[in-house]
Amino acid sequence: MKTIGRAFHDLRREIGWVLLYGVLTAIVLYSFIGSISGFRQNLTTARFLSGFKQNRVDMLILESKGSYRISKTDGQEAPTKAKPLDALFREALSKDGTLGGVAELSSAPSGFARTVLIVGRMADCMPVRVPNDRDLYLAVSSSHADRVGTSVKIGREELPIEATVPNGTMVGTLYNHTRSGDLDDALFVFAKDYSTAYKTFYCAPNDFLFRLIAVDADDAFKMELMKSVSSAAGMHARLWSAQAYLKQTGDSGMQYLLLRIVFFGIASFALIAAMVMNLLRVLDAHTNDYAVHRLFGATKAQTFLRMLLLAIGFHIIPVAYIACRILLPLGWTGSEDGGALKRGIVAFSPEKASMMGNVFVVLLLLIAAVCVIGYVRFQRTYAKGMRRE
Amino acid sequence: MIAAEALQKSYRTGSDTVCAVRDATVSADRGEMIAIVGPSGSGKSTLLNMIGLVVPPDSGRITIDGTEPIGRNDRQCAAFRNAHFGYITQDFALLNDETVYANIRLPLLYNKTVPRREHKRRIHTAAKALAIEDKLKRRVSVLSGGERQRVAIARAMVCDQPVILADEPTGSLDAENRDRVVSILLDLAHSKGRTVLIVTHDSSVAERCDRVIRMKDGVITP
Ligand SMILES: Nc1ncnc2c1ncn2[C@@H]1O[C@H](COP(=O)(O)OP(=O)(O)OP(=O)(O)O)[C@@H](O)[C@H]1O
Ligand SMILES: [Mg+2]
Repeated sequence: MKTIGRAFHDLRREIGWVLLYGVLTAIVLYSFIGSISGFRQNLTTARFLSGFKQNRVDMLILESKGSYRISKTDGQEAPTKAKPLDALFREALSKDGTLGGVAELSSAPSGFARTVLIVGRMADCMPVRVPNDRDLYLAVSSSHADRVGTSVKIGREELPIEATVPNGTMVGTLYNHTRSGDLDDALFVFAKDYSTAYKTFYCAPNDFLFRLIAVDADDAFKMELMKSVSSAAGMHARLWSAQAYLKQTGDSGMQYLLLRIVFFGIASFALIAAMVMNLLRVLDAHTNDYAVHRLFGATKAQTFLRMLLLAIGFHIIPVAYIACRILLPLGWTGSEDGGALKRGIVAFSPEKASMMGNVFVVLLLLIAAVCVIGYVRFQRTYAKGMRRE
Repeated sequence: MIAAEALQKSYRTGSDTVCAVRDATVSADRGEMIAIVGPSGSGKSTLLNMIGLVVPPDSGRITIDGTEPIGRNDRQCAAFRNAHFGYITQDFALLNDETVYANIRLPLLYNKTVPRREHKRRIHTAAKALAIEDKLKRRVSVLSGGERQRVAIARAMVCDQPVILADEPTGSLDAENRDRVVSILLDLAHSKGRTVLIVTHDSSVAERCDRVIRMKDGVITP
């Protein structure tokens, strides 16, 4: 307790540095990590989408009527009666049809953060081969590989989990959705067609509207689809070809992200070098005080702890920032009893290199390492005793 | 009070070894003020640092007040230093950003036998004895050299440390302050029963001490 007070006291003199340095580190870290995860997400999305690049895939985009009104005055839309969406989906949203869709079920079996339902042609673009004779087929990410072979109850069925997909590869599944992001904790349910999904999970056509694709569709079908969706959703529907999408997010986006990564990588490196040197300077500046305390009764452990606390206090802004980033996501993934934190810190895998937990551990290790160096330097000075010239 | 036997210390610098202190045997009684003199590099500071448990000797025994502190763990050693030694150095070794009060209080912070409510009284008593009571609220960095050294002496006696180890305490003081410091230390030895070991280059300081230990090339000469 006293040692904490003393470290805090030491820190008072450095408050300007703490602020300047803390904000700088937080900004660079934030941008660097943002770039890396953006890059990873883009990469997996692009890889995912390139799966149906060859198949002439079109993605459905919904826009508010407001933005459509301008073209409506052009009088291009024929006021013919649209086919009900339900009927259209029963016909075409199937493994042998033209449509593919993704929906998220409202509940997830225990152990999973969410349940993602993949229907019809959408399965063609996934890294899973669904056997032909199967109406429903369950898969998990490799981080849940131990669940393969067990059964889970979803909807009105008890079904076995049969396959795994590599971690991180399903990110693109929820493209065009605010809550996309990490799907490694999801249960993936592949349904042969819309009727099966409807019977088992009571899903409604609207559940698929935000993630619907048309594969090898002809123009007439596309027109009909857009009309049906527009009238059912009360919004303007438009189709965007996968090629165009990839062009935008894939190529130029990736180049920009790579540049950012290089830039912030260099910035981070410079920052780390500055951090090490600055920390050593600060510790050296306190050598006299530490030595005087040692002479009059401080132990080695107290001295080292005081250095460590000073060093951590010196970096309190980035440390607190990262700690928040680790702890906050737990809030909205809810059901997973601290799992993300545990995996983030313990699993030091390159696949998760951008995980905040790893950054946190690296930062703390770095601080501790610098403190050890600082302590050795201090001890060398102190061992010269009262002879100080 | 102090019994050091056959203390030995050598330093390795690069390829060759310097024997800083060789087979040094020192004893000092309660109430005695002893000067350690000798040419530069003769091992005076090293000897004092070994007795003060700052520098571990290569071999030899030290007994302070009937106990042998060497070989104990670091926590016990730190507590022992706190309870037994008051250190005074040429450069004062003060916490320069702190007030006189905080500097004198330093050993009390690590002392488990003096209760907290007594701190203030003790600090004031020590400051009064050294005529710096009116400066308690000042930062030590604004004090003169003589005043600083008196702060250091107050700190070295505030816990009733039985041993005062002073390494050239008058080295950076003028004649007047030097004589004053020596008088204070002599008084601590003679009327308070403290044991004072003082390393000095100044023959006028050594003359006033009860006894003089002479060193040359790491060896105590008669
Ligand atoms: N930490 C150290 N590393 C290497 N050599 C040392 C160290 N401390 C002391 N020495 C050497 O040991 C010898 C004795 O040093 P010491 O400081 O005890 O001398 P001294 O009598 O106090 O000298 P001075 O009067 O100049 O203070 C010297 O030769 C010195 O160079
Ligand atoms: Mg010396």
